[in-house]
Amino acid sequence: MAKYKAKPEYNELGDDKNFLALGSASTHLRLKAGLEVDIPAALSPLPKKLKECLKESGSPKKGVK
Amino acid sequence: MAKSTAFQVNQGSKVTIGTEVTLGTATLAAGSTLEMPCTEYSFSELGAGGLALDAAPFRAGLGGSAQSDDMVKARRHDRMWEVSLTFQASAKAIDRICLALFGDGTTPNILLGNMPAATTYKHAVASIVPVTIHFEDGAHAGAGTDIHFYGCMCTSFSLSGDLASNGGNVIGTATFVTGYPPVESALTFTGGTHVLMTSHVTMFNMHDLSTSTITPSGGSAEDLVLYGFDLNIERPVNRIGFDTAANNFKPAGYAVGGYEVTGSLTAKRDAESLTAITVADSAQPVFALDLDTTVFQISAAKAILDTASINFDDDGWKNVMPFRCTYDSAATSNPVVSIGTAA
Repeated sequence: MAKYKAKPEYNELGDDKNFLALGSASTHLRLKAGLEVDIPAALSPLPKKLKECLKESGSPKKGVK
Repeated sequence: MAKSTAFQVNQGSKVTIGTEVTLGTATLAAGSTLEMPCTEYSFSELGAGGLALDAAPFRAGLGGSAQSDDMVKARRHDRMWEVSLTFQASAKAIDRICLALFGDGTTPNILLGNMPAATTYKHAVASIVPVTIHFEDGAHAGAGTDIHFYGCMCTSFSLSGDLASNGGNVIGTATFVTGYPPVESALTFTGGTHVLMTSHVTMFNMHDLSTSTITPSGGSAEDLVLYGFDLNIERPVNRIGFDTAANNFKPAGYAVGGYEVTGSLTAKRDAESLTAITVADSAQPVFALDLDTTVFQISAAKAILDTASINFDDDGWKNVMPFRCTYDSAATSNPVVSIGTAA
């Protein structure tokens, strides 16, 4: 399973668009702490705008500016 | 007036939890709801239900030793109504209560050391945390008339399993409080996402436990013959402020306090259980907890024993191991407890 980290843009999302809105406060708080997370399967597919604020970690350079 | 023939009964009421959009507004018809597999429930009464009196001190001297109506007043400004739900611990019910209590409603529901994500909730401000609890046919007129409590905040959740009770079915109990007065009227849920009672098909049962271990810090996993357990997560919820009497003293919002996570295990007293609670004088009695059916899983990385004891039961002595769950202080983002509800 792919793991994700937050891009800086994640911190700009409102609580109605981040993982709090999806009912996963633990994912939200871990991303805010700079940790990599597994996205719970039940939350897939993620809303497009939210997904754009994440980057896959562990896959070299992909999605990293 | 003639005596009424209307009545209400436990069997007649269906209990539904609805997600709110804005604190102070009940779940909308097109909102998200879940019918709860309740076995018991209770709530504060309308009107003067839960309404306490405050009294002024007595005056000294003759002629002042009784109470006038100016000296005794009903305490309305900080009133909280309480709703308690006891239910079969299904995957959907556990997920929903965890969402209300600490914001995680997707397996694995993890309470982190840095939760909650918000410590205050304001009236008329968007939030998915408060819920509406609806009791079908729960109004005073009985059948056909409902009651609902809105702006409800979850203040505690417990899971309790006993191999010898309830067919081993793990039972959940959740307590909610609200500063908004209950409403006797129907709420119609149409057009949104409505999960029905019939969808509770995955249940947590003691008989399905395949792993019941505690691993003392620095030791190996001790395999317990587990008779029962309970896990309790609590936090205070305080109402803030009040509106005018004409607006029913509605609150300006809520403030929530910190989580306390405690529990207890009851296991056959044997070499495994005794090793589990035997600690060197120089060490804290820290252990990792793992209760797992391969579908439902309760795990805690840093539980600490709190006054273990023996039950001298006729069917064999048992160790009782109360504990408190903590997070690893290396980072506040470490988990306190995790409750999984899917394989």
